Amino acid sequence: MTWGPIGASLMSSNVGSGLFIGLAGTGAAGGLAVGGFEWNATWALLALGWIFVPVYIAAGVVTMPEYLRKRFGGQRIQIYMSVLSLILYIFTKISTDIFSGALFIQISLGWNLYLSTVVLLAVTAVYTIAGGLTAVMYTDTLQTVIMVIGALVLTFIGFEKIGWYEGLKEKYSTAIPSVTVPNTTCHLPRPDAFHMLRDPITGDIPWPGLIFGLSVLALWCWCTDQVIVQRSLSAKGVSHAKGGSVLAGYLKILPMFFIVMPGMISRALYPDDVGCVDPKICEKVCGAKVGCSNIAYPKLVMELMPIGLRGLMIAVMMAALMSSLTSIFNSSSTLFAIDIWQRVRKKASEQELMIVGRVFVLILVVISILWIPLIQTANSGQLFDYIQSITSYLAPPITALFLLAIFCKRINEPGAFWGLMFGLMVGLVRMIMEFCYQTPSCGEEDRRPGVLKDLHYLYFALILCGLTAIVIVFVSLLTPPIPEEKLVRLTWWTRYSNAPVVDLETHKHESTEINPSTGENDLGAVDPEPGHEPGAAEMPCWKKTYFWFCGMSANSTPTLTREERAAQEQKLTSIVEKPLWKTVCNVNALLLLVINVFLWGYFG
Amino acid sequence: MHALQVAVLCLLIALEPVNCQETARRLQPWMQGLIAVAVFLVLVAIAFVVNRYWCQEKDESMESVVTIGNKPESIVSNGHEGKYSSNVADFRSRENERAYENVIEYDEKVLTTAM
Repeated sequence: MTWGPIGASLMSSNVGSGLFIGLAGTGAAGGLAVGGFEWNATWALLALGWIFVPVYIAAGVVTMPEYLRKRFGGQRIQIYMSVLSLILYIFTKISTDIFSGALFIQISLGWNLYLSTVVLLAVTAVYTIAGGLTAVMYTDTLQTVIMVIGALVLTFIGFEKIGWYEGLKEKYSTAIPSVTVPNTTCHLPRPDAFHMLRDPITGDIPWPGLIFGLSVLALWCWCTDQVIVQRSLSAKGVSHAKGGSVLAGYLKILPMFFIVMPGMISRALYPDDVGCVDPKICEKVCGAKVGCSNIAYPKLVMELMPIGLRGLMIAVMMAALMSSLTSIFNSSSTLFAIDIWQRVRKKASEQELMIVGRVFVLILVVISILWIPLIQTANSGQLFDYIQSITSYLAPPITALFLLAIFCKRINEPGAFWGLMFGLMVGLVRMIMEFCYQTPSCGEEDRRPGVLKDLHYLYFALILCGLTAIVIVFVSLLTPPIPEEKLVRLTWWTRYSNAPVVDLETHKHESTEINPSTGENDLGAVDPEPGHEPGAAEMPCWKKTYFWFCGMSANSTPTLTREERAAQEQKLTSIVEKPLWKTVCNVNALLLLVINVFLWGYFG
Repeated sequence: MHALQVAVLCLLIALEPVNCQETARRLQPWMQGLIAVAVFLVLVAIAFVVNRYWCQEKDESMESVVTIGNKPESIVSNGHEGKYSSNVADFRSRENERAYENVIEYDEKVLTTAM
């Protein structure tokens, strides 16, 4: 893949319908600061392209748990990582995206929530199953274009209606619903709504949390998570991966303007619906007692867009939903097939892996649909808060682990495992507490314990990351280190070394890995080699169609000699770049960062 | 007395702009942005310089040190064109003032050895 599809796919895999609904909703409730979540991503994207992807390519891995297996050895970390990633996908990505997409359809078309869900998923499943990674990435490019254009159209119409930025500032500050809960202030818009950097203690998104705590989550999401990294790893070379990161960084500047600000416009124009505080009214408007900020974006679409453009917006939402869902399904099936199934059944054939991966996607979908009712009521009805807080309880140990694995050679397997376990325990405690104590709605007394009420989840993420790192380092120092020759091309410092790779596991796994990576598309980041020898036996018609539909080669892959295989692997794992493109990428990255810093300063 | 009056006058003039300062303290947004960019570029420049210096120091320790002793004769080399414009005086040997060393230069990929 070249940098164009990579950048577009990175953006649209991340910006799903959950983000449209969630960002707009939190923007309506709290103002501009939530846009910082998007602008922070630029730094993580550049870290991905410049630091993490070269190491992953040099290591020659396809999935992130596989990298951990090569780096540390042993099976338990790999299996734990796969399971944890899949759980996180179900809780934070799949269910929220399905919920948001269905909510949008429900409000704009009036269909039943579950009916619309099934229709959406059927369409999505068809082309994921048929096409694999390549289909997903090319459709992502198209969907990014649709998403950006449609959302920009709505933004311009909205701004024109409200009197541009000055008008927004004025009308948002005076957007008070007609029915308020007496003796409370929750119906008032925040006084710091138009500032991104807010008070570290009393702010709803404190600035140290937004800059440092969020970076921990951003590093997890962009640099260590299978969904995003898989897109970068499909690059033709390191320069294309870097270019894709830069393009995605530019595209990520836009959501502030076409999602967050329209959310605020929505509240300014319809304070009684979007900004409702009375539980009875809120329940009538959107079905949740805690608040209705989630309907900010659909409400704006319904009220402002003329009928034809309303159809365009539905296409936008479906594009966003499908692009994210396909990416997540694709990566989940890869994770499950390579990291879990292949562990359990070591002799699994390529065909079996493919079927298993795709059946697993169906199971995932069913579980995610069952999780939807829980999302509707979680986290004061603010979807985006829900996503970010769950992430901040479970993801920081992974960030700590990957950072240490790449930069610190002393870290070994027991350290990594026990650090992960410790982080999981602490995160689970907080998560269970969060689910037990409901967030109070307006006017209710806040009876939650201090550690839940006063410690913001972004600070918690930062603290958890630090504690996990300490535990990892401590346990690693107490146990024997991994010898140098086993870390060839697996860390930042050894990524260029050309010494022979000594696998920590038996060499049996070397051969089973090369087969899937030259096989079908969605299990590997590498396209299958063209020009197979035409010497296979004749197959029945139905079997040929079946193989063609699923993207598998009918003939067996030609067996390469040892030298050919080694040469092929060396070409795939080379991270040498042409100096011209290296400079072009660096200059572009610097320009992107300058624009990013300027925007932070402007809106801070 | 006259000096005291002048001093009081100066003090009053200095105190007067306090009212205006209140509105000027809130920087324009674009000004805030530009200041942030400037600070960022300074930090990048510092990081660049540190990186250059640190990497160059590593390279320098690999080059073998050649004579930089006193030069009793002034010698002019044949030509100063191209990259090989190094002074012949750099090649002086320590053993004899009329002898010259072969310099080992580590030039990235090209490795020239002594003999």
